[in-house]
Amino acid sequence: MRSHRILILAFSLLSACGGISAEGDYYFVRSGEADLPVWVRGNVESGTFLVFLHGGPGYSAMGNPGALAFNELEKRYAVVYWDQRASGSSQGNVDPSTLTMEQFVEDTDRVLETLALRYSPRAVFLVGHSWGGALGTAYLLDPARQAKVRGWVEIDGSHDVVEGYRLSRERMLEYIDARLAEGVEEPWRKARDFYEATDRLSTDNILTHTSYVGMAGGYSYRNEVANERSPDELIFASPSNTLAWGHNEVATPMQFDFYGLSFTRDMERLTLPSLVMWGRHDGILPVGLAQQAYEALGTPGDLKRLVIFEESAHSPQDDEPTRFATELSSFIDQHR
Amino acid sequence: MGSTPSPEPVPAEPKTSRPALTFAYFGEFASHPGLLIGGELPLAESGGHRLFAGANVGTYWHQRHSVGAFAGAELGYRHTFNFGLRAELLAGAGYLRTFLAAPVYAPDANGTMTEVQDGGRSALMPSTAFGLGWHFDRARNGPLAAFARVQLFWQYPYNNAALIHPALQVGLNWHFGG
Repeated sequence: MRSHRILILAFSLLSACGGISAEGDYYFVRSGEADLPVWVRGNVESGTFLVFLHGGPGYSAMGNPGALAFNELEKRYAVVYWDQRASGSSQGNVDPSTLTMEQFVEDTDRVLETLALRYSPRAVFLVGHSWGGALGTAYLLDPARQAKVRGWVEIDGSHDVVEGYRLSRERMLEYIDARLAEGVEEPWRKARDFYEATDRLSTDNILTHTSYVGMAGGYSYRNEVANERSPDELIFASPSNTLAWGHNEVATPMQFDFYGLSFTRDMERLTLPSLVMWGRHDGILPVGLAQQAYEALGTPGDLKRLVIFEESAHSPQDDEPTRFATELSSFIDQHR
Repeated sequence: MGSTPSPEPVPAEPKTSRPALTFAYFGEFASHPGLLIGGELPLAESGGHRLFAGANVGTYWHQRHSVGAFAGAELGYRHTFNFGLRAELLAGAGYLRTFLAAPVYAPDANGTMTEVQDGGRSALMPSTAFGLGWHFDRARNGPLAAFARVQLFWQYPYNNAALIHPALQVGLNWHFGG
């Protein structure tokens, strides 16, 4: 063990001599066979920590640092980016049998407990995007865990996968019929057959569905995500492993059957301050879910807010970054 | 009466398959650098064709991700042209141990998070590589050759699968004897 510390020290010295480094604190949370990378950036002195729950499952949070919305947030708060098990650049040898909501919730709790150990934050906000919306909701259903968090932010989240697919399928059929009416047969004739035969998402059809949603522009509205991290940092100092990320992004959704999740009826147990943010043009989790989420929350009306982004699809943090940061900061400043 | 002319001496066939030491940069291309040290032994040789066995140890560093330390063995085929260019194919297997390149926290017996020492994780490391090189002073059987290899190696297990890594080796072979 000493020898590997010497190796790390030697390599770190080499890197420092080259002037290539990345800002923020970096550490790992070990949870069973998973090693979860955690990157804390921004204004740690503020005492306010935004813990980002990324999408997927299988995706990564490590592409967000440097993006405009997060740069703005980091000026005011500490932002905690971490990769879940079998996701992004997390390491270890995760058995597929551990890909359960209970395990993801436990991992999240370990990340929050480690944050408390290292920083003693004054206020922690959970910010869940896409699949992170389901994970954050599941985490907060337990009152003891809810008490650790000052506020909840759901961004185009999958708190109800069943309803989300119903709305997405409906939207896709409308889109497909419009294309077919224009005489565009490929690939939409085949896509129509797919949706007519598929009334429920599963590990067998998720990749086909997401592929069609992508072709229909359901993920990105402006498609001009900018990252301001320097090229040398991205190449030489990025903690990401691109091939691992690619592997997990494809493999994990096919190993974890979360497609029957539906938390809408349970969400009345969430009574903490909450912000629901949604892109009007989201094709994978359509905007109809936003109003349902807002109404289902048990949070009193004066402590919850619904914000729709008119020029965004699945990721308003990318499509409308300035407004995204403004709306999120306003909510956090009100409740921290 | 003339005497029968003695035959012209036949130049010794250049030999590059003597035992050799290898020193190389080893990295996941330029972004995750490391080193490799090894050796190779000739197994068979015919003309410019050679079969050899090699063994090596090495390390690489992915900042804020992991440090890998490995030891392995490989079989290689190399063809060296008379003018010095050489091309080679290698396949091997090894042991890879990866260490997290940042502090690690884990729950203790009471479930309280605490900083722990990382003992690393073990993996099998099959590999394959293609390389081009140059044997300096081949006509006089010089000891030095330079090479560049593009390698693929696998880390197994990683999340119940094998994770592929591309790697680059750029280095020197020093052949003993001659």
